Amino acid sequence: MNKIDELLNKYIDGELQSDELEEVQQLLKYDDNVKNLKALRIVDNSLRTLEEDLAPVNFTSKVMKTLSAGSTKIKLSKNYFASTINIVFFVSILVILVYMFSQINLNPSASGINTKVNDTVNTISKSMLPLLTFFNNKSVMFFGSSFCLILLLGAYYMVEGHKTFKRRIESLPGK
Amino acid sequence: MNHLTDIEIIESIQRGNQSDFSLLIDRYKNKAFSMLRRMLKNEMDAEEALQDCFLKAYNGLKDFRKDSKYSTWFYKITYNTALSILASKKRMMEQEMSSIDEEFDLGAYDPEIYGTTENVNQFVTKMVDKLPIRGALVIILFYLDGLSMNDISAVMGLSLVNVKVLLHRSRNSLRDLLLKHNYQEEIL
Repeated sequence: MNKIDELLNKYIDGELQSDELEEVQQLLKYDDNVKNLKALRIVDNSLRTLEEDLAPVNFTSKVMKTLSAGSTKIKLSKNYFASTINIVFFVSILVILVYMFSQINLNPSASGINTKVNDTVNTISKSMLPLLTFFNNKSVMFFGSSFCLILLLGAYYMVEGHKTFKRRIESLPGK
Repeated sequence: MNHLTDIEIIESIQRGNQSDFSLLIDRYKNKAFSMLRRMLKNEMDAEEALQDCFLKAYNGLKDFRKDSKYSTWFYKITYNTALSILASKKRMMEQEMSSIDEEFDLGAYDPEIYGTTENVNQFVTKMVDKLPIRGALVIILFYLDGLSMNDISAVMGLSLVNVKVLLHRSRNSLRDLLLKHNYQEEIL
């Protein structure tokens, strides 16, 4: 496409800069360019009268029926990260509870509820004591906390990355 | 309900009012059909593709970002759907779509169409159908759908410069036909 054609098209679209406008004014001193511009303007005006093709009759109801038949509901995106954390948390609690109860020596001959409660508390304290002593160690606490933080952050970014990737794939038009 | 914006309709659908999707269908079906018919050059294929586009759009609404324009997003789905159909039918896909240096010579169709049209508007409109796919598409998106050059560039995945080149070339090839038949003398 030559420079004159480009300028005339820009003129039609009202996209000319002031220096280009002067250039076009110079160009329009020649009959051929005037003829080209007239024809281009006719094309532009004719294209503005373009009419839409009509979609088939009952098209809307046909699509709506298809949607209803498939009972397609828009699924809201779920927060998988929060669900995962919740599951891990509850499973951990459950494991700890199971472990603690497994340590309790349930003696059917023990007398009274108070004795049983005392036994339970003693057992729990005894079983937790080495654990508490271990975690009271400052360096263990520091490394443990750091490790947990890194683990959580890693998991978070992994899940978020996966979600973003999935969203991108799904949002690709035509997919 | 016609006064609702696209985004308001989408929010309503997302709240569970599935039937509101019919508003979006009514709003865009003719424009999308015009696009598809010119790209696929076949009414049956266009009709099938049109339904496919709306189903894809419905299923994709959950991921639709409300900061973008629904029209651009939907036309992009329409464009890609048409491209997939063309690719699957192997309609000279590579020749038609690989570059913007498409064949803009409309001479082969000109005599037949010139002989059957009554005025310049009819002639130009019919010749648009004979433009290369992307040339016709730019014309439709610009003149019929009123999309800006930037939006067309987003829909077609082309640079702004290339969109302008396609639009100018399409108009120039139509202009050349008008000059050939001295339409500019008849009218002005």
